[in-house]
Amino acid sequence: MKLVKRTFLTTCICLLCYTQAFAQTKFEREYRVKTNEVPARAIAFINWQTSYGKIRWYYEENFEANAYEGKLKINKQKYSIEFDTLGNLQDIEVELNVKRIDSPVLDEIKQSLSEKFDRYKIIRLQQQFSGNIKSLSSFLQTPSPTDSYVVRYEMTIKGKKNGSRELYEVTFNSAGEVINVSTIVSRNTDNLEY
Amino acid sequence: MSQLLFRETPTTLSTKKLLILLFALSIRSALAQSTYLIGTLPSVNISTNLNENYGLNFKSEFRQIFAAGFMGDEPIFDHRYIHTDLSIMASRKVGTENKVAFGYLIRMREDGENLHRLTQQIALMSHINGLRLAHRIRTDETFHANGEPRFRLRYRAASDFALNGATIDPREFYIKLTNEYVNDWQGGNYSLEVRVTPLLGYAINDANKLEIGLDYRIGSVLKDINTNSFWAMINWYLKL
Repeated sequence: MKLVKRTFLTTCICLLCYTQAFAQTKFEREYRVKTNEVPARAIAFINWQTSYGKIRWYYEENFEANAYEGKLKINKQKYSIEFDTLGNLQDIEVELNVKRIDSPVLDEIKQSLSEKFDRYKIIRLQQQFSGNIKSLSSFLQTPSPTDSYVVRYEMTIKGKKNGSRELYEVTFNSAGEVINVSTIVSRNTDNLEY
Repeated sequence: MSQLLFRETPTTLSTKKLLILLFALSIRSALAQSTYLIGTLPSVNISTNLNENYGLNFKSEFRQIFAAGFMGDEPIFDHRYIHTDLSIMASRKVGTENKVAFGYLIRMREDGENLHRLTQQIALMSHINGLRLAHRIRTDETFHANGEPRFRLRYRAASDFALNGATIDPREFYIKLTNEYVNDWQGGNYSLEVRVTPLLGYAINDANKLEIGLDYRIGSVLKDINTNSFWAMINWYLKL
């Protein structure tokens, strides 16, 4: 039995060395940061608005662009306000229920999804607002029809096409037309299954 | 009945003392009726995808006991190697993130008598506010030369969440919690075991994770004498 134990430990060490040598080079992560680590401009924008209570700050790193993200709740709705590394406002995302999309837009979205997938199920929907700081600020406080911001919808769906089931992220414009479809690489679930 | 007694009889200091004493004695009695085991249960878990839908999982774990005895009594230290398990499971994707799997396990015991186990499972993945929650329903049948076959029906809920940020990213710590209920039938006898496992994990990357923690198991839940097992765990999950 000593031999079994020795073999087991040797295998562990060898495999650990092997995976370290061939570790993935893709680098993408999001982590919590303290308020005093966030650019003053971003903090100023948040303070400029009405008091929202607790805000969680995150820093997002990837190959394309790094960003600070403030996550908060307003009237029980989840908001995510994204800033660049200098603290300039990029966009505001609001998580919402599909039923809250205007009927003609929702019909267009459903039509587009039916054309692209054999079957689909909407998992998550975010409405994305981008534009000038004045309009976005106005949107957070008292939205007005005269505000000029670009509206997009970002959906996470479970989709089936050509017999294959995957998670997808689909972006629509304000009219419900598809702008982009990308496959989401599912995270490894082995440690929850075995 | 005790609540009725409380209502009808004014609680004096002596009554309180008596109740505390009875409570303490009942706990002592319950503990005296329980056994415990303390040991280690490290495992290595290696998975690989054969193609888009099929995959294989290899697992090896071995057990050692460092202490055993009756709760409340002096421990009987008895360091002992118990067994080594080797298993293989073949899985098929049946949904976006759901899988069915079938497998075989061989348990090489200290006494040289090997056990053979067939396993079937379905794992269903759900997401609640960004939290991953996996439901696993598993059945297994265990056979060995000198004994009745053993049949088990198990349900496990498992979840993990990042200690920093919304998702578990490379080079981040995370917490994993599992809770499992194991129904066991052997030779006309039934027993239930409940397992609770809090683990601290570290993701080297998405395909390489280390976890350390405690696996607490209370067995014979519906019987007079409970068995309590405390297993120190180190799990290594590797996807090739």
